[in-house]
Amino acid sequence: MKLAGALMLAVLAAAAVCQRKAGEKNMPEIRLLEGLKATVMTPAATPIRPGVAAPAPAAAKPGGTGYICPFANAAANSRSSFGLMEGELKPRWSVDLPASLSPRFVLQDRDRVLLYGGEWILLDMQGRTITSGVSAGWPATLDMAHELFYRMISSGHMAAARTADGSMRFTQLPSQGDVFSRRLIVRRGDRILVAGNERALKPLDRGPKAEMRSTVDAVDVAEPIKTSSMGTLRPTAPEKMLYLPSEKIQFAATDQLVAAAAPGRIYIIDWNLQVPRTLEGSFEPLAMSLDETGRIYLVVKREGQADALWLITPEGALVYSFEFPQGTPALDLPPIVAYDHRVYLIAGRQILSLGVDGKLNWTRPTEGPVGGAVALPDGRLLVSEGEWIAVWDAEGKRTNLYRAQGEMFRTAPVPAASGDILAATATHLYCLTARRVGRP
Amino acid sequence: MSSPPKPIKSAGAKAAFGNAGNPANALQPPGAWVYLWLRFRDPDTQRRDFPEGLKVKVRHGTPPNAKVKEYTTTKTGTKSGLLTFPAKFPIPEGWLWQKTKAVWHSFTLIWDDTTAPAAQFILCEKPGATPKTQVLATAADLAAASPPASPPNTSGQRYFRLPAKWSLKSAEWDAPTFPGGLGSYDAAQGVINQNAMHIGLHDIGAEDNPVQLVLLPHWRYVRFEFFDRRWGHAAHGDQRIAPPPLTVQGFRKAVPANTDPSDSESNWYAPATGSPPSNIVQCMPWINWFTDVDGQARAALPKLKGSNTLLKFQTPAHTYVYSKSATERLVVQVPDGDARLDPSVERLQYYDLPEVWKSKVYYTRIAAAGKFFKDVTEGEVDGSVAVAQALGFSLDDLVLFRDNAGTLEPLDAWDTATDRVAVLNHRFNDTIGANPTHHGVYKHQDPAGAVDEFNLPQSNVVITRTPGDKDVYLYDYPDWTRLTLARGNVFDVFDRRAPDVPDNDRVVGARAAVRWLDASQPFPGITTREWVDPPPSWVVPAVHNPVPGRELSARPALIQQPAGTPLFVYQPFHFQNCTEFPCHYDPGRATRFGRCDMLLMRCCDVNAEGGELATQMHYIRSVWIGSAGGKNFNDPVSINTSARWNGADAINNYRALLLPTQSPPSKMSVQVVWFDQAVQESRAHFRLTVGAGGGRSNRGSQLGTGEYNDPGDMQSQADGWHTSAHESGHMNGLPDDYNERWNCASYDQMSYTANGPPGDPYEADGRQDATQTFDGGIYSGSMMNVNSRIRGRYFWPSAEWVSRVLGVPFKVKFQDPQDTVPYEYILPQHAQRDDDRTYLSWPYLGARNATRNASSPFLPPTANWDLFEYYLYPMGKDHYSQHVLAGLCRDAKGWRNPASPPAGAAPASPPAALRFDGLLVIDLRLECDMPNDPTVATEDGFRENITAQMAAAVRKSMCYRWRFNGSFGSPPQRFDNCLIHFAPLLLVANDPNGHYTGVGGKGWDVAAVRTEYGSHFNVTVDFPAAAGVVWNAGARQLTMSCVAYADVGAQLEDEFPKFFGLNKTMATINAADVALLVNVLGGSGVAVTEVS
Repeated sequence: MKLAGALMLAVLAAAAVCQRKAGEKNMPEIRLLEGLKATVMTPAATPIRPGVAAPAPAAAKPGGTGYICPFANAAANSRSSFGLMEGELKPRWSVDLPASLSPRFVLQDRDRVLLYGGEWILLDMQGRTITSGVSAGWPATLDMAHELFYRMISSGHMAAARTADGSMRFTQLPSQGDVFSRRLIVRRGDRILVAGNERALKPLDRGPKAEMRSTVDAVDVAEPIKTSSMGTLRPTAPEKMLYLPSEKIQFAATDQLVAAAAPGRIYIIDWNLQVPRTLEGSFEPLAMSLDETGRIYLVVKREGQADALWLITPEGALVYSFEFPQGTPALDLPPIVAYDHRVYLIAGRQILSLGVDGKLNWTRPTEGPVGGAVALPDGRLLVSEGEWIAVWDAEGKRTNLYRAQGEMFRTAPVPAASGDILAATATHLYCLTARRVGRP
Repeated sequence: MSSPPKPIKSAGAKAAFGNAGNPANALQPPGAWVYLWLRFRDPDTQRRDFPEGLKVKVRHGTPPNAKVKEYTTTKTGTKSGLLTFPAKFPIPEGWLWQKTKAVWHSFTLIWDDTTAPAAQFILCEKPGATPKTQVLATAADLAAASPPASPPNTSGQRYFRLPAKWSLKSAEWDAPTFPGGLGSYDAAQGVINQNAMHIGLHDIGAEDNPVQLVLLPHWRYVRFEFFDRRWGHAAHGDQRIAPPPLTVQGFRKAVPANTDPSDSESNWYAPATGSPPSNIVQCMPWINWFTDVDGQARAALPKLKGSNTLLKFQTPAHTYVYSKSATERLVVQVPDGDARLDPSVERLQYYDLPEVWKSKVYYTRIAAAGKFFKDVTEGEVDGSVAVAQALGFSLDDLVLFRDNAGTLEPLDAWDTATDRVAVLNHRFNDTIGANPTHHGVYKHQDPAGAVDEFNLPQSNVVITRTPGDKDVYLYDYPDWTRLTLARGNVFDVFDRRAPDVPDNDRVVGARAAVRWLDASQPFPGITTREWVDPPPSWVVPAVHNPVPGRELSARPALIQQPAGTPLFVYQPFHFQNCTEFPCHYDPGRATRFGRCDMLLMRCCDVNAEGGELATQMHYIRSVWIGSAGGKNFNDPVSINTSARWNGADAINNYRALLLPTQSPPSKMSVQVVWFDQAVQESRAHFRLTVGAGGGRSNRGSQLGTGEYNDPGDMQSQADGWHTSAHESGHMNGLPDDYNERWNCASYDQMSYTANGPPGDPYEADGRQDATQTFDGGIYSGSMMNVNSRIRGRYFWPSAEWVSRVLGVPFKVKFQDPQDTVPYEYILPQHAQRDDDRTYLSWPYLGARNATRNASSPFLPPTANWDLFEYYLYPMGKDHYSQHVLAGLCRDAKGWRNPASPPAGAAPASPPAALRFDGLLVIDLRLECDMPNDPTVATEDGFRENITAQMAAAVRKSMCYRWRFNGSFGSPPQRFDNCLIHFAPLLLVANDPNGHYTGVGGKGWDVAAVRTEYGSHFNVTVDFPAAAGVVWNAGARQLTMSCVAYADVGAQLEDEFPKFFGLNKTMATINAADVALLVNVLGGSGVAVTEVS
């Protein structure tokens, strides 16, 4: 090394261990990248404002085939596709879980169960383990229509594995690779959308000066799928990547749109990664879910005001704003939107029930920490609370269904088409049934 | 001695009658006799007899005509203290009757030992023993009866000394009664009068009914206490207890001369009920209570109070209280150098007593209150007649001293207005004392109430200056105290005492908190220099104070006290020597990491195994510039930062331990404690600028500089991110785990520049965030990587330092909250460990331009084709080597071999095959030419996606795939399960749009990086219409043409092995191929296998 270089480097060493220059990040605009083609988008900025009172949409019809991703579906509204079989619940089977699994979600569709946490296990509906592995982060999505499940792997790739045996179908590296943490994988037809936020991997400041980004990738997987020798998806056209100049975005999607809630802004994105509008206001998003019409149920934090649940149309009309009563704990789950559009909020050990008009129906304490909850087709709320699985009716009456003595449920209780309920504690995955067990 | 027949009343009487030589004297002396029974009242208000053999002067009459005769007390039956003498003298021939009358009309008693060779003690039985005994003894007698000599009597017997001179007049007596009214006691004159009408006719008292003269000493209670460091917590209810009875002297002078006899001297003690069972108070008899001036009625002496009294005790040098058990304490002498004083858990049983202790400027505890002795009032002394009101003195009271070549001297500087102390308990945790911090600061001062923004955290305790501002005195401290911090210096608290000095305004006998070195002053033999710019140059200051901004020429000398088997080891300005940074690897070049004080304090407690708990402290002193919060900022930041490392926050709840590994096994353990403190700049290691903006937080250990970009960096965030704790890692000698992905033209992937160990062996410790997602949103990655989790390896330099200091190898024990068990981390000792190198940050083997001299796989083959860098690191057991890498391997199995997916339930913990004891990093430095765009953001998007594809392809298909065993290096180091990690290091060199340089540019200097590191290969990535690859062997260049970004990764899957001269793809490369690369390391018995 020449002296000048050595001196420069020595000074660098002396001066700073973690130097970072200004201008390191420079992606302040909404950009769509398609290969080497970059398009800057300037969507209409629509202020979120109180809208004309409109009747609530008619109750939705139960749909879907199961609980396929965190919070049931890409809309994150925790709607269960299936109802509850009446009767006392008993275990049909259970599976011992290793301590390292730390379950967070039970995904279920058709004859497959994907228990997901720090590690994951794929099982059939008889409780037989098909395969297992470690997790590289949220999310995972069951896609039984294509007999695949999608998850992120530690190399930064999204991996599509077969539900039949867990073998790899393909891997695909979303934009920026493992620099980003993915929050949503949703498939419609041959298109998969993968959304994520830039990870704070740099041991540097995280203050307002840090410019972090979020992205939505469109991955096309039309058959026949072409892969490399190592299973990497070989697209026939440049990938589409939408860069959003915000971090920590909350994502939720329906078949029509993706809503991406960032501080002060909601990006309305279509499945072709166009951004027709942004909805703007003064808020920080805390949690978000959508209903079947694309209406946005957004829990917001506001300067100097109580946290609130906003119901916003995709066009920016604020249908209602429900301010959380003073002392309400932080929300743990995205708003649970019943099929009739009533809303359940899980805040600490409280359940808040809101009517379709956003008015508080009732508040009830739970029996313990809430592991998760789903809205049943009949409007009731099925909840894992502490040792219990219980159901709450529209009037706030609680009925205990099952108790895992000495354990705490860590996941939402997930009804299957069979009438079984799947839920996990730290040590067991339970398949509960109201049917008679062990008798003809 | 039996009572003689009446004619011979006593030896004194015999002498008086001239018959001393004739014990069978049959003469019946004329006149009456006096029969006295001398007694005294003990602190229990019990009357006790004076012993026999006590010489008493009887003075008849009034001076100058008085006649004095000495008698000796006798014993009859169970009674002692009997004093019999004639009520008058024989009438000398020729005397007038009246004259005779004047002689014997009255008498008084006088005790005068001022010319006696030895003081007289009255020695009594120990409490509860029967029968009650009183024996006259000298100090020599006491010593002979109950060795060791001093303090005399450790057998439990009690004694007090009679004043050198006292009298019936000067002492207080219970008013005697005289049978038949034949006598009277005149207290004012201190005489006993014979009633005139009975002169010469009757005895006073009778042989079988002597007149009781009961001395009423004015007993005053004092209480000495100390905290038994061995049993205090376990068996004494966390309370201080009393040492065995000490011989305490009392003087009716605040400043007695050395020749002054004591006015009171006693070891008398009584159980202090309601306190720990073995607790006692000591009782001091004040016998002379009145004046004794001939011809004058007696008057009360001045009342005792702090300003006119001195209490004092002395012990021989090297005297200790030996706590043999929780209930048995002995006073022993242990000479310096005795093995019993060596550091060990048993050492806690030896509590040193001061050679001299004095009350004058000592803090006095009275019931729940207290004041300095000089301010103790008459009323308080008078009131100290009950156990609860005893004047208490804690031998643990602290005085700050500086060592001056072996002499303890008062501090050379102290600013009463602003200087404060942090008093730390011996456990350095929050289990002791009031309002402690997690690291043991007693009575943590609410920063809002602090006088300024310095010396934080600090203790909210009274700091007293003794008169003349001579000593710095602390009477409020935790039980017990092992360390005090003040003025940026460490004060060792263990076995030193405030010396006896002639200056009466100085504290004598208190526990000395010793500053062995002033770390804010120039170190002997150490120079400093400052970096100035412009012009860029080093400047040598005239005075070499080690302030921030100055590099020290060398590490200051290690301090060990005492030498040989130190209880306290102090290394100011400690640093680690790590690989030079940011430079290419060169074993001959090192960079200093860290700038902190390293302390090893032995004998801090008994650990859970019953062994010695020692403490290694990393003391980091910082001055914060620009923090808007001032003291309300400095205090929580300092505490929060240390808390992460000390196992005291939500992310880390385990305090690292260092355990010796020698044989036979030792139960000793060393806890590692980090202590960050805000101090004045003149006393700081680091000058930290807060909110400077424009850059990320950083530390420069050589100069002691650093920045925080945002105040939000100062505390742990909800996801565990703690920038300040990360930077504190640097201040303590730890390099980054991460590669410099952001500043060296590598577009968020690994660059040529390692910020820490070459090859970035710990970069993967934070690459997956599964735990962040599923474990309460907490980042799973390591602190020196993603600012979150503490790993056991971070304490390896601490273990090495302690190993060096003590000459015994140590290992680290640490448990990540993500683990179910603690792991023990140990590495081979570095050959240059005396230069503070460890294999944590230095590779066991490494080469930056390695080759196996392979030809290229292309036709025609190109010789000397392959070039790569490798770094082999041994790894101890921590969460990374035992879990993170295992998880990455297990995750990798799922896609690497789709035909054989892993089956079965996930194991509870990784199998042995996935727990690694080493990591071999094989890197390629690839200089790249990539698409560009006039718009920075667009160009960044292109390039970041390309580099992500390159890195991810290698990570997915080449990493977590092979492992090997074998022995390497010299001396051979065995690796049983060493994982192989491949990575492309990227330098995107083309910058046609000038985005790297110029105003507003990224500031990347590609030429400098290229010059410093050099490249192994060139890679061009282009986006034409069709995909494909072209190798140019002569130019050592791979050109990848792509349609989609995914093509980059897919093509590299096929081409990557060819960089190593292997005509394989990632799909076809096998263990034998990889073995060719491993063999470059020159090991023996090497076997490469796939990770199963």
